[in-house]
Amino acid sequence: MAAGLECFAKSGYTGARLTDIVAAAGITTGALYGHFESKSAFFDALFQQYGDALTEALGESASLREQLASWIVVSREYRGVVRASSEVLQRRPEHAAARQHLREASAGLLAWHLREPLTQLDARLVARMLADVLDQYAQMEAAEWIPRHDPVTIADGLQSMVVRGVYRR
Amino acid sequence: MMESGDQTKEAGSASMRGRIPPSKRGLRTRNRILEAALIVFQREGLVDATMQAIGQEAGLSSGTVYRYFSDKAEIFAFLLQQLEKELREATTLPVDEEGKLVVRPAVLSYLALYREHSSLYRVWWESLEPPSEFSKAWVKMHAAYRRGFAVALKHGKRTGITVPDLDVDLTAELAVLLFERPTFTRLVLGWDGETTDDQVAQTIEALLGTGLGA
Repeated sequence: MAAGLECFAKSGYTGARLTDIVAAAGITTGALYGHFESKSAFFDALFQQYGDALTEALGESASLREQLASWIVVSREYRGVVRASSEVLQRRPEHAAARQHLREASAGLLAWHLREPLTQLDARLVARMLADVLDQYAQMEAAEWIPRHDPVTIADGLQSMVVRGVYRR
Repeated sequence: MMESGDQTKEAGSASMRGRIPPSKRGLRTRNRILEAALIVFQREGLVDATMQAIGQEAGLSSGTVYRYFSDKAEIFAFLLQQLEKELREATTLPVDEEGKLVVRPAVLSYLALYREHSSLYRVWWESLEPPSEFSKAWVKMHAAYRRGFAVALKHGKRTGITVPDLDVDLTAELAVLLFERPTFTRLVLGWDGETTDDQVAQTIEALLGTGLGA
């Protein structure tokens, strides 16, 4: 799995070859195919792992700020999945469904901590929007289009925007 | 890591790439190809689209299509170039007399622009990974939006209307994402059908206004 992550991070979904993953992992092709019947099945398993890690981290966080920072941290660990996922999102409807499912689950967890600061708007709607922003932030970072910032700095910026906005009252 | 061939420059330049002099008839044919290409890109994605399918959709021979464009990437670059002027205008963000961003109408017009060109946006997003000349054009557009936000926020910080310790660059980056990503999930992926444009605009306005805290 770790070898797969690295290959997807380096070469993207289409570019990653099972033979390279196998070589990097030091196993035989037969051994890999014993576990996964195809590249897409292998990727789906990795995505599942990423989703579990993300929801677990969000569930364990004690505050919204902590959740936002762990989102960035987990996405970095799974950079290969983040890149490959954005590559196949529009091409594989079953992956889009898995992405949407994960986004609902993570937004639900964010909404839990959003209820308190929120006074006016639907927490669910705001949570989905934050999930979207974090998703794209992670995608851009994974593709190296933007420089890396400290996860806590990003979390502070986003948290501040939610609570205080941008302008003085 | 990104390709930087001539095509990259062309995608953002003002020069027209069609090789046939744009006579009236030539223009009509070219437009027919462009319209057909959009349909094929949307149906099959940029990766699987072929010049032959585009010709078929346009009711023209592949030979004719090749006389206007050398490959599908050139057609897509041409379409993006047509959109560029509108995008440039859209990155000029409205501010009120105090210098505050006027968010709601900006979101609504962004959504309208997106809807009008949704097939093109769909293909553009799809072509971001693996990196191509189109990711480069996309990053450029994203950066133009970010600069637009940064200018308004920097001005606001100087005149003391923003929250005092505002991180201008990070906030500008997040502001662009607030415009871009929910629009993508709504209009390209078709999620959140029950949410209205105005709810989206209202939420973004709150986040880029005075926040949601008590």
